[in-house]
Amino acid sequence: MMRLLSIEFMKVRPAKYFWILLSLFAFILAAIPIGTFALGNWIIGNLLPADLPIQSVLPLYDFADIWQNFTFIYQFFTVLLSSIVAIQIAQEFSLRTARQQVIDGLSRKEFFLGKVYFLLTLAAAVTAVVFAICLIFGLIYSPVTDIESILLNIEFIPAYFLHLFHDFLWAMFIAILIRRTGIAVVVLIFYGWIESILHAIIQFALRMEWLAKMLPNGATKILIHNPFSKYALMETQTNIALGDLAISLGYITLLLGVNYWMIKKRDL
Amino acid sequence: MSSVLEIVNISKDFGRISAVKNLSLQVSKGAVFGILGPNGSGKTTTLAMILGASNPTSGSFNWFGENGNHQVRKRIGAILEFPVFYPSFSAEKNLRITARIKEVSAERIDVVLGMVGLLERKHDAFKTYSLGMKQRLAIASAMLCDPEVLILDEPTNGLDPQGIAEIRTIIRDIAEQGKTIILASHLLDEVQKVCTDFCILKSGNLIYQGKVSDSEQSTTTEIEVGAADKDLEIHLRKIPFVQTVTRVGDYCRVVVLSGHDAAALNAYLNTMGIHVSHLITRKESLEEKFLSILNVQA
Repeated sequence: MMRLLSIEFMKVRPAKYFWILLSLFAFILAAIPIGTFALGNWIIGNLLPADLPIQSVLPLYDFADIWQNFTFIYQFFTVLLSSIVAIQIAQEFSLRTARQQVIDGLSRKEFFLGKVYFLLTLAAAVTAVVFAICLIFGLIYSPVTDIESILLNIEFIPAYFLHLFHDFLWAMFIAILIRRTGIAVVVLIFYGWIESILHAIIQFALRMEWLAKMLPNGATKILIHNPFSKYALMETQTNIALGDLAISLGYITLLLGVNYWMIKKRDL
Repeated sequence: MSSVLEIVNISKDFGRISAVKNLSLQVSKGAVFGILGPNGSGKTTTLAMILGASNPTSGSFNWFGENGNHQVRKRIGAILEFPVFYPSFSAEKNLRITARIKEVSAERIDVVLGMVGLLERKHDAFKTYSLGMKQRLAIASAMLCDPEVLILDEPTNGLDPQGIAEIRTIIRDIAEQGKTIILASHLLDEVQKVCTDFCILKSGNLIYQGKVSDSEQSTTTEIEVGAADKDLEIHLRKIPFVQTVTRVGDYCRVVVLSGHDAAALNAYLNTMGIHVSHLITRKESLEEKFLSILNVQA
């Protein structure tokens, strides 16, 4: 496993696109909690009427809530990381390096496993950073910092990990299917948009929420529901539904299977 | 001699088109084996199958007498069609990846780069290399594991004469180390110059297999003669061991009976008072044989 993982890291470490997209994502990770605090408080202090009950954006950083709040926002930027995955894997086919590596003695299974280990590592590393950011900002701004409050709702961290892994596997699927770097990234992003529209139509016009949840790209986002409606005093889901978890895990299994099958069966 | 590679009835279909049809081949240890064939005859498809890059529609193959799994490919060095590397990475970084895949020591990198004369450029990005350098790097990469079998597919394609000569020298050096080499080419001359054995593929069918030396022996000897004498052609026809005479420009091409050579011809002409100013022995090249085999089959 370490050999396969080290091979994958040797392929991305000297690559510019990897560092550019990763830095962009890191910037967003840091900018959102800092920016929300600075900008939000400025808006509340200067633009909103003083008699509103909202005094600051600090409730966003309250423990228990902070996990859902930030993982929910960060989800919208996963496409930067998925693009790394799509570029890296599509490139292996367009440059024919996948074929050469199999010729050099990598089995197709090892090639697949190397990719999966890499995706898992990337997802785990990003999740760890997100966990640290939430923890630090929570410890600074949350009025409650007892261990029980911190651990309440921490399940959104593993949920975020599942979301990342699912999204990466989806990007891997598109990359193996399309095999052209540029086109794969364009399809990945465009499909995301198209599916969002489709999702809205199915959910709000057709009122078939169960079907909307089944869409492959959206299925990665169903674990973490929009938490912000609660600040408008609306009913808000603050836990992870078992049904949603089942859909998510189902998709992960399916994508693992299909991706493996495509690498195994197709000519390189 | 023990066989390194054995292919049994292998076939590959792409939809309705069959690229390779029931091909069986054996390559013995130490051979420099040429696979000849025009473009599109199934050479690369065959190599891709025996290297695991393409799944055969039917048939099987053995490497070193064992069923070809990926472990066996670590003992083989192979390049298909064109050199494949990450363009923005340096030669060294590219070879580090290959070394890790093949599970060989990274110390080999400098050894093989030295072998192909790229040591000074090892920190430069692959995309800055000329085509000849790319081909040399590909050979270096194939040599990384000190392979028992080296497989080269059109290694001189697109190179200038100097590049071709460099690659051929490298191949000959490697062959002298006793390694088995499989060389796919559409250039007969190339096969004739470096190979010991060869086969000919056409439209996915094996149409000939044999030794290069055998096919050279079976060719007829043709001698090109030139002399100031105007009646050279008439005199040549009078010589008893001369079979045919054809005039080509200023010279005459003469086919002699086996057992006779240019020296005999020269001596005979001397006795007739003709002084030869031009005398060249031409063996029928493999190329002509190749073309005649292809034509017979067509």
